[in-house]
Amino acid sequence: MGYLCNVDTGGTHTDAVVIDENGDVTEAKAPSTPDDFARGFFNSLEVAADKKGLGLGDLLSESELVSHGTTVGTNAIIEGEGTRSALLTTRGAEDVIFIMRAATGRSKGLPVEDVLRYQESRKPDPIVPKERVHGIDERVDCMGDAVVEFNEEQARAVAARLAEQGVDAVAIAFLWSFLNEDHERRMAEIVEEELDDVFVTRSSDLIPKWGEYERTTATAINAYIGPTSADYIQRIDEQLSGYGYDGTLLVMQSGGGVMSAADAVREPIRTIDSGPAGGMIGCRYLASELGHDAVIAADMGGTSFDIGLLTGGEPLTTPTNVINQYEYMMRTIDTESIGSGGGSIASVDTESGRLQVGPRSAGADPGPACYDQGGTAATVTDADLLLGFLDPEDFLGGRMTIDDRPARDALSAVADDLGMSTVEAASGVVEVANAKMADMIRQRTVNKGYDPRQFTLYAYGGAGPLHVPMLARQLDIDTVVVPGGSTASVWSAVGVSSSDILHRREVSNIMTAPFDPDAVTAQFEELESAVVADLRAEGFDDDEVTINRYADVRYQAQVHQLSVPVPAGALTGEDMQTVVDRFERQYEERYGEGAGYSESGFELVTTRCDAYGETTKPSRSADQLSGQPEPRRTDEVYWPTVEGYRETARYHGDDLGEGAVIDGPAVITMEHTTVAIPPTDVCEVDDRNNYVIIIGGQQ
Amino acid sequence: MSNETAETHTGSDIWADFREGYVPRDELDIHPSLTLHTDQAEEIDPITHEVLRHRLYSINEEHGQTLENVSGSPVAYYAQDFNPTITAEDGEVIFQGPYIQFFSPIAELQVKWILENRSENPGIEPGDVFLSNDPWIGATHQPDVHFIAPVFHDDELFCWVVNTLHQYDIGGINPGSFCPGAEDVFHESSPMPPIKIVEGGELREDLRQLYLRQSRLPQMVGLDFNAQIAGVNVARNRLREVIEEYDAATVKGVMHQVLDDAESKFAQKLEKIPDGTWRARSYMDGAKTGDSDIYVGEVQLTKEGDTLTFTNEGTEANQGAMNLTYSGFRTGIMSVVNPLMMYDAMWVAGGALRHIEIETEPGTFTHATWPAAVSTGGQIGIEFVIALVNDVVARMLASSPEYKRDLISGTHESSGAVAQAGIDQWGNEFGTMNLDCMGLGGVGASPHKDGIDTGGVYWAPKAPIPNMEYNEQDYPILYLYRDEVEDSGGAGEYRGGAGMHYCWKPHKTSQIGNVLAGVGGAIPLSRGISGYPGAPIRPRVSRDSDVDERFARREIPARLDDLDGDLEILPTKSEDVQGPTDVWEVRTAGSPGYGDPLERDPERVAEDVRRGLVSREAATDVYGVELAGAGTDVTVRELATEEHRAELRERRLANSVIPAEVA
Repeated sequence: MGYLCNVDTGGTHTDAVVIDENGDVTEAKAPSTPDDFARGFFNSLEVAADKKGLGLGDLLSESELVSHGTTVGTNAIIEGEGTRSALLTTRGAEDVIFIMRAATGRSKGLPVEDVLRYQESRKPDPIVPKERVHGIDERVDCMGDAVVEFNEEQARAVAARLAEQGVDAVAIAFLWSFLNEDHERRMAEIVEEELDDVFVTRSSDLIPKWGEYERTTATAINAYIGPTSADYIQRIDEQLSGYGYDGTLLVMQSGGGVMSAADAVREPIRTIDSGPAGGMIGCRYLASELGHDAVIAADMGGTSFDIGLLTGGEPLTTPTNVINQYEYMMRTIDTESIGSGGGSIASVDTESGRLQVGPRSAGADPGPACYDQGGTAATVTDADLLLGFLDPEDFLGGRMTIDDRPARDALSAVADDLGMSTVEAASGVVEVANAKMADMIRQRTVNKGYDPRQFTLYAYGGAGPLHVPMLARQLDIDTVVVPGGSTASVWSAVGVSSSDILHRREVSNIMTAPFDPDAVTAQFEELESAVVADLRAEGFDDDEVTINRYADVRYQAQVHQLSVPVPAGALTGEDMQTVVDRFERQYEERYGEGAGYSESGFELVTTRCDAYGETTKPSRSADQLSGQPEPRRTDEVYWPTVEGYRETARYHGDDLGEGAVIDGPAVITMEHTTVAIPPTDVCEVDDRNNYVIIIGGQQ
Repeated sequence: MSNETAETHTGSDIWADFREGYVPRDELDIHPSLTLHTDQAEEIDPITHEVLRHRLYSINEEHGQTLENVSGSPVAYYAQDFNPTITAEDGEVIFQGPYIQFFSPIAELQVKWILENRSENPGIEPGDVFLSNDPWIGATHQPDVHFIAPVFHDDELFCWVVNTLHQYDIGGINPGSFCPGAEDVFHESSPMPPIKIVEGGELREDLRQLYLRQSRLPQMVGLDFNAQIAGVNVARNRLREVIEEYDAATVKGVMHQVLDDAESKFAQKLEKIPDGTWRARSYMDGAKTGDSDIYVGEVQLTKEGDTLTFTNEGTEANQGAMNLTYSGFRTGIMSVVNPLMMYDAMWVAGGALRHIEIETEPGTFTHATWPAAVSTGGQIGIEFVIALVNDVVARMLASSPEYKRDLISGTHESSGAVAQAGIDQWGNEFGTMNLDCMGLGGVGASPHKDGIDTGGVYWAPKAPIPNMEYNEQDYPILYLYRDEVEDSGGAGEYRGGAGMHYCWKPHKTSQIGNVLAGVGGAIPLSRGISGYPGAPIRPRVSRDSDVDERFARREIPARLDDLDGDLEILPTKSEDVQGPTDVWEVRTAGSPGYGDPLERDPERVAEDVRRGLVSREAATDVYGVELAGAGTDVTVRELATEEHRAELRERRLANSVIPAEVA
């Protein structure tokens, strides 16, 4: 096998990660190039190739897979720089995307502090301006019957108007089109007849599911970012071929899995928020290797702390996602983010004298005070340095120097306001940051019916391996895994490289129990034949294809829907009963005993198929070392968890290999991250170079 | 000894409470057998404070999440018609969730009443849960059912957790339990003063049945019952864990610090606001179904030093079905004070309430005495009071240069909800409240920004309206349209939020029974500040229309007026049977603007015209903006606009008279 390359475009940097057949990882960074992100893409690969002593062409022609996490779509929405798009709706539903289901439009996805501050509250700018939203005379009802036939003449007049308006993308989202797509299909044909070179997307094709607001936003967003994203992906794909790469570019999806460039061109909406999904897929792969069923994946970087859950070895997903306060339908790996990272700023509220950490961040520029790039605000990283966790002599593999004087100045200002010593204040900053992260984990687990004590905590991202192990005790979690040692800092990229190709199709067609097994089977088979055809066209053999069926079920007249697995093959009445039983059991597990309402009957709302085409996985292995490692030196480190200094052994990752056992308190410096092993805990390095920390593991 | 103390404990005068509404005294009369936990750590380091404050807030959030999860009923879920609360041992409200705001401050009254009147018999013990929906103790109306649970530490009452959830139906003459035609409370569901539904952890099955027996839909209410019990249990368990981890005195110390911090933030604001009195008046349109008179209601706010005093002098006597009890008036105040003045203190109501006095007149329709009908209080009376309180608080803030920016000119001008019942398209009986009523322009303009178009009601920060497809699936209706309403946001330099139309016909059923309970249809409830008011609610029906013919001709009428039918405007309190070709339309209210519309940036007026939120006529006549072009292509004619605005100003001068001179 050849190289696995992954490029991840971020706001300031584009990261390339190249994994060779031995599992060795090469990382490279280049500045992101917002005027044309493709330049940064190839620059970062060129730096990586250079590190390996190769030319870009050599690297790419010997690459087996090139995968990519893009933020082009996300940026277009956040910056309001999408294309000149239009939206066609059923007449009477033109304002769906402006009304935004009322209060949800001003509050969705925002932290509670912002929701409560009406003085600053507002709805976001429209995705499509009103003058380019047009109603069409047509109507389908909840049984799929056409109540008003499609008005061909009026529709054609609207298409002519679109041509006048010079639109280059058209979204079509009619009411109930997921039950009867005739009108939407006809509309798309007319648009394509009347307009040249236009990007057309219709809701019955993109996401044929129940609920017009979230379906319409999905369709409108797909059109809004369509042409720009398509152009970008196509250009990269073509240039890759030019350099000798003979595969297709694989693009990360927020729902888990990658997709071919061709699919990303058609449905760029699937790339929005795909960043955290890569890490989660890496965790899924690792969890299957380690035999972990239930995992809390915690990613702490410079500005944010993201978590997601795996249960039964699979990442939890949600049927919708939120961007810029718009909720839209697209099954997305369920991660949540708070502004708590290494760059989070500590401050003291002047009125109450209380210490606050985040959500403001010093970001990469100017960065924490200790970077000495002009930042004067005290950050979590400054506190980490002052407490003795970071090695000023050896930070980021020596590529960056950090200075404890500005860090001390910044924190002593905080300390003065609090009436504490500087080190106590630094400890307080870490404690508050850790407590917020622990609260969030509690909210994501306990509040949703999951017991954190049954989970293993995975810690990655630049700051994760330092902070996350300290959370475990607060949550009564007994094991923390730092995946791949130093690789933990680029875990998302590793995850994308280990992702399978995913084709996901779903459709709403509300049926009432008792469900007709033949009708349900037919619906699944239709979905399956489509996804299998897609995978075959991409060159997958049947034995490389895995298909999972799901049904979204609810109690009639109740609002919560749950996705439950459905058996394969021709379904029987017994199978349908299994689906209902699974739903009831899952409902109780999720919402608590007595929450079920079986008297009201059941509805099967949506059927879904996830089909995976297996790709090559990176191999990862630990170095073989003889004997137990020696610490490089011993430092006095102040541990917030015990509120005091402890003699702490400092190791270097280069000295560690399979079978190494390190007793806490200890700190392991690595090229891209630092692992902290709290007092009384113990860390072992396994055969895949994972650092497994057993909480309270010391006898 | 026990005899002696038993004699000294009388509690409050319960029969006076049941008649006039419970007003707690400064000193509660609690039976001495019950000890409140008051030990609090004085010195808590700021880090522990911050850690615990977050933890307590997230416990309350988890409580709310449990209600949402276990209930799952559309009313609870879509309108998010519930709220969880943590109060101190003596009832002061510490944390309230971001859901229906007027539920939480009211929890204080329930807790205090229980302390005074249940501490001896049947006693307040660990593991107990009380249930109450008595508006004369603490509820805006009977469907808002409170579950109130003490949290004990050792033998001392440490604090309380409370939740309130609106039940779809809890009895009374109308499905949905809003009874706009009620003569008195005996036409409505029965108020239940606090009863001990769970005794030391054991559910009282007899009382549960008594409660569920009141409802037309006992199973749905039963599910909410489970949710409410699960909610208080979750919150109680989490609090016990925190107490164990940090010790009781520290947790209690943080709770009181949170209250003290909120209080001092509030008091500091009051220091920078001049003393004065502000008055607001509005008019209730109809006391009950079939009544077309109007009734005056007033609110006065006097700010003196560090105290705000609210009164309702000048409000007419309680009558008909429009009434609200004292507890509703009180909680209406906090529904305004929290967003306008406590946004930087996470809406910790207890802190502000230490500086608020209420002097209302019993026997008025905003402080109703038994047996007045009060079941619409949660829809009508509360909206009326909130609008008036918003008026006076906004005016007060406007007088302070420091805090003027925080004011919101007003909430939605009026409101109304349609309860619907009949046989659905699948052949089953159905009953629901159409939650499109939450799609209002309920957040008015501020001195620096516009109100929020169809931004929802302001006392429910996150409540969504259902998708049209949801309603069409579950109920036999077909929407003709749901759109934002032109000229419904009050004009001003900053425009008020626009309201929404929802328009439907019965579909695949023979008829639907609609019961509307609303307020403010005749006259907007709020005057706003220097801007214009928003448009009020307007329910209309086009009877025996040609909607089917239009559909057959492949046309969807975009306005009710386009239909050929008998057009009728309905009063805000009405009952109607909607036949198959009767098309209903409800316009929800907008909110007031801020400042002079002649000062509005003409470009923004043009943008509003393009968005269909301001008509060409209003752009010219009200905003003084002259536009060129048509439809969505309009542009500002700058010179013509300047001239027209100058002309309008001159006309104003010419028309203005000093009232004294008129006399």
